[in-house]
Amino acid sequence: MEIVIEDLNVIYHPGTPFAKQALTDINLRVASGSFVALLGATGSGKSTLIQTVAGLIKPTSGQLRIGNQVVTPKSKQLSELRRLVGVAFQYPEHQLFEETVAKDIAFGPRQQGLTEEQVAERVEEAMRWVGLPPSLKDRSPLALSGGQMRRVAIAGILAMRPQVLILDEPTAGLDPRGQREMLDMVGRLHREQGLTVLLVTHQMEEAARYAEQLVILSEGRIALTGSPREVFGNEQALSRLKLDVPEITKLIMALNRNLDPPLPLTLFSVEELERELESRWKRGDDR
Amino acid sequence: MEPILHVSNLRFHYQPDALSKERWALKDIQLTVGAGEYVSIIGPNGSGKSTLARIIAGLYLPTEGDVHVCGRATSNEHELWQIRRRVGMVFQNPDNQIVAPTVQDDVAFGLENMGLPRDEMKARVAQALQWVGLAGMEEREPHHLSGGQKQRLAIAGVVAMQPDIILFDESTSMLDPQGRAEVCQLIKSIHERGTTVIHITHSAQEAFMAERLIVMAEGQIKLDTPVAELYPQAMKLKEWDLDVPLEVELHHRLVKAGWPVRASITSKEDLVSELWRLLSKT
Repeated sequence: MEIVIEDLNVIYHPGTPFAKQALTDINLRVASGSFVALLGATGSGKSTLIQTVAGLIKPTSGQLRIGNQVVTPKSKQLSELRRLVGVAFQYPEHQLFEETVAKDIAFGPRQQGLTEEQVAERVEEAMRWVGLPPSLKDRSPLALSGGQMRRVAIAGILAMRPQVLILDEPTAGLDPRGQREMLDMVGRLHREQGLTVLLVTHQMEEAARYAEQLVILSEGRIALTGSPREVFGNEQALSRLKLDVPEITKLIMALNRNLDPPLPLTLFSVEELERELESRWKRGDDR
Repeated sequence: MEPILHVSNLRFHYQPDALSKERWALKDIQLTVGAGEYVSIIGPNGSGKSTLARIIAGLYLPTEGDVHVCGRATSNEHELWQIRRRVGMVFQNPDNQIVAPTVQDDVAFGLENMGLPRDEMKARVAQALQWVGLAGMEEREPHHLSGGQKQRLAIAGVVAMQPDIILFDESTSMLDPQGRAEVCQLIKSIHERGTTVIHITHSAQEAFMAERLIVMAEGQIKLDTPVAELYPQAMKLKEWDLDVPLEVELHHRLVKAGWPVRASITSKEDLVSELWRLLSKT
């Protein structure tokens, strides 16, 4: 589902001595079914932006449109919008509370007024989507591993069938294998269910590898946006924004200090880098 | 010299009275750490890293075997308080470690419990804040600090107690890249001042900053080696689903592809200059 943000400003406590401008003049279009990574230092406005998209915070000025739902400062009803957008906040497993995995996942769809049969169907489907075996259905969610608990929490969101899925640092605290599995799962949901995904992350590797579009926030404004190739290939912007870059980009930059012509900064896998080095090496042989 | 930490034949079970003793959290752990060492521990979730840290800190007692810290056994109840004073711990979530309404009160909290004279307390608080780079923020409210600053505050509270060993249990995993870099730098400087550091992490990059690296999996120590010697065999880390530093992976691939690179590299800089050498010859 398409997201269009126009001239959006969010000010906390407007008109008081505590007024704080959290977002300034945000203009952003996210195509339906795309995978966008939202990057930026702590305090850059990422959380405010996702809460605004999720209909939890109203714009102070400007507007937001998701599908055909429009939110302006005057909007009264945000419940329709909230139905379209699912948010997994940081450490969503802290919000698990039911006795069994199935009951926890069923909580959301049950609020949507579905029949018990439909709810059961949604639970089964959501467990399949996140890769939880059906045998875990009657287990206590609190007795699962950290990675599994997080999947249960995300399944609870998917069971409400949102069109847009927002994930706030879904890999924090997982081990490398858990991180890979989590992102592969999100990538699969994006591809197979056509979900529009907004991923908030501090890990440049994740952004470079999984997202189609990067949005970099700095002090409440969009500082840079583009494909991973455009963003990480723009060395001037990277250093101006003091952005952390993927490890592989750091390695290429180190090599480039003494290579002429330099290697492109747009290689994001070790396979690509190896191929590029290989072709240099071969070219040298031909001379 | 006597090691600062000595763990022998350690086994640990969360329910030692259970009939089935199949699921040991830790098995057959042998570990000796000398004073001033910088050790990192990596391993998958559930491999027993955090359990081991809590046993070293005297928060859990071994089910079998012994743990000696500064020559004292954690099994000796009378020594336990001494041991807990010698071992400081910094946890994952900075928000869970802050107890006081101002930065300086938070650092002083542990010292108050030690019953130190007021002057000494003041001096230690000032020094600890200086070390972690929070001098000048004494009166600030901790919840207004950034994640990295909060974690440095937690570290100041530990450093002020002047422990012999500081254990960092995934202390960087909830921070943004800048906070992470700040805390890593601080860990390094704590080591340089002579404190023994044990750093538990999921990040290969961070683990390789230490002098010695321990891999844990399934409740056991699978590998215990100086980092300098680990480079040549780092591909082994994949056996436990752990990350391998990028330069190690690239080097491994180039060797396999028949490049005339040296058989082993010792650092990223080493690989970079090796590649410069090869590519400039062409």
